[in-house]
Amino acid sequence: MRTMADGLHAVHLRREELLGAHAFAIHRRTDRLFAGLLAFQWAAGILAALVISPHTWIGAASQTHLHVYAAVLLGALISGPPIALAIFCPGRTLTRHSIALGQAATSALLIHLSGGRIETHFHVFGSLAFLAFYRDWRVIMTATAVVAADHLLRGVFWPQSVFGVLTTSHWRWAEHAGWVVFEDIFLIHSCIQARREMVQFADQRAALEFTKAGIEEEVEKRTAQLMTANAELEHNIAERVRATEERERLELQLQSAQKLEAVGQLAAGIAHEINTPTQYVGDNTRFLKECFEEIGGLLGAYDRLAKEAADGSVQAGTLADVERAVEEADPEYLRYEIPKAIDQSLEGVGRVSSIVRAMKEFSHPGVEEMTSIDLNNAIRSTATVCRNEWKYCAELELDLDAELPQVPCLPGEVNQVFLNIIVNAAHAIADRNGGDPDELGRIRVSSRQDGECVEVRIEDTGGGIPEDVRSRIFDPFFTTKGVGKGTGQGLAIAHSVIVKKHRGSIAVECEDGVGSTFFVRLPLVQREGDETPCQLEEAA
Amino acid sequence: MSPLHESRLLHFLFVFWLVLLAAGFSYVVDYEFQPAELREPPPDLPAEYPRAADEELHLLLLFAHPKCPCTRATVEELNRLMTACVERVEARVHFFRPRDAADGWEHTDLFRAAESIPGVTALVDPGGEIAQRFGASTSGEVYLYSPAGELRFRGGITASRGHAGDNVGRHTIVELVRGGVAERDETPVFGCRLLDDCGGA
Repeated sequence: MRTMADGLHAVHLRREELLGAHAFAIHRRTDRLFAGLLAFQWAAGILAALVISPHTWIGAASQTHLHVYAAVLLGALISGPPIALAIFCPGRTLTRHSIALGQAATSALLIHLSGGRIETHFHVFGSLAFLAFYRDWRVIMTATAVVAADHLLRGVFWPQSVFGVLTTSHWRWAEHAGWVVFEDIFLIHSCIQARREMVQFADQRAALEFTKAGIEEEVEKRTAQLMTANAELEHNIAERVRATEERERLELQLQSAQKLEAVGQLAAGIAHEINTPTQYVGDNTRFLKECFEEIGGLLGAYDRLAKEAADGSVQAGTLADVERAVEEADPEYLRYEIPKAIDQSLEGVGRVSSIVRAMKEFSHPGVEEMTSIDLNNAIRSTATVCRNEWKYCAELELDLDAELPQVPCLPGEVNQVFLNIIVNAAHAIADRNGGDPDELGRIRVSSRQDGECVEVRIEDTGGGIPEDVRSRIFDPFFTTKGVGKGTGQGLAIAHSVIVKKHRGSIAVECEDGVGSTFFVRLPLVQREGDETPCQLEEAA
Repeated sequence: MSPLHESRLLHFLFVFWLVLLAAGFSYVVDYEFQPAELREPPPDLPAEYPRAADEELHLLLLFAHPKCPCTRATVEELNRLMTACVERVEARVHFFRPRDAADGWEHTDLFRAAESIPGVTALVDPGGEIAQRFGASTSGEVYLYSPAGELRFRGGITASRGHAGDNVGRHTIVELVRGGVAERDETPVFGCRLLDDCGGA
């Protein structure tokens, strides 16, 4: 982790780097400007010499003036090296000091070439101002030193060239240099100020970069954390998806298991239901067989009697056999019992047939898509297949709306819901009655259309559901039944089937000691993606 | 080449350059301060030479080459001089003209500048005869004669060749004209030669 001292040191180093780069850029740029200026001045000096003093005269003869040679050669000597340094070594300290020197020398040369015009001295001041572009006061000092040295030396050796007198004070040069220094004060102040601003700028930029780098580092760190969290989240989502899929798979398995459990539970009852008519159909058949044997004996006696009567020779033995056969067969009894036995057998066969049909309708094998069915018929079938569950403890009353329209649903699963609720109702009544067969409770199943929904009510006279567990009855694995009597899946599956698969609703109302009423509402129209009024009602 | 060697070479070249610059400037300065040879002028104004219009005025004679660029500074100094003492001096500038030169050869901007100065008369000196009469051989050579016709001063009124500005010659003349006395009566003169070595044009 970076400490505060490290940060300050880094900012300081970066500031120096930025300051150096900025100053170097300014020096390079100014070097190039001066390269152009020096070249221009050189050319201007030559031009000025050619215009002002092209020739020197001796009587009528003339020759090229020394000023022209000086402008060309001395100009080249003055401007050439600084221009070369500006081109090949821009930004170096030596370069800008050479330029300062060359510029001061150019001023001196221009003064000479212009014939000593006082206006040309302004070139010195202009040059100093231009040199201030470097924002380096040392450069101005170099130029000033050259000007001062020029005046000092010429003041000593050729005073009239600078002061116009043959003899003068040795300090006269200081007066001239003083005016240059006067300008220098402002220029140096400007350079120092500019330098301070550059330092300030570099400082701010270094601090900004440091802050930005810190922010970027923090952003990278946070991004990495975010990516890690994102990866974890994706992993969790994947896990959750897998868990959901696993749960759905388990729910399906449980649903199947519960169905199997219900079927297994019902199997004994159904077997009993089928066994009872089968027994008495068998008994009656055996009775009819015995009757047929007796009738056969009687018919044989009658047949012999008829033959003897046709021959006209009826024997007493034959009559005695007929009387004995009639006595044994008891035709009056047979006339009464045989039709009764046949009716009972037919009723038994019909009974078995209805149970088998109900089972078939209950299970709806092979139907796994939404199918419009007669819900009343489904209720009847369900009541039939579970008859053995309720018949010993309750009477089941069906109050079904004959005008009920067809309802789109998954028949097998909806029947499973009705079965679960009816069996629960029977168990509740049995629990309340304590298994007393003489005290039957009542289960009432009714159906009706309510707008765009069909509502099925299953009321029972069991003990009701305790209020404290009422909100949990649709939770998986929740049961109030004893161990081995319930898996806790019945109502959970009922809720899943009605709410999730049919977008309907299931609710319960209870009154302690009076019983429970389950409301199952199914929509008459299933539209993909739409909420159904049955769902809305549940939400409301 | 290593940076150290390169830096040393550059600094050596820098110093060498400084020496060359100093030499070059020295040569130019030396040229500009190379005075011309002065000859003896007539101590009194020659009788045939016209006197000043006002006999109380000093007479200042300037001999100039109309095409000498260095004399421009002298004319500027003459202007300053006349501004200072126009009421006491009558000035005449004799512009040299070769004998075989066409008319107007001498009418340069220098000529026009001189004749535009109050109290100054620009004159043509064909063949440099007047200059020779006074012994003037350099453009920019000045002679000051008192109202009595005595030579009071000879020399130049610029500090160097073509260098206008404060100078000893002008100061001396002003002192002589105003007070009658001065520390010197002669200054060096800088400029083109009026006449060739044969003394003619």
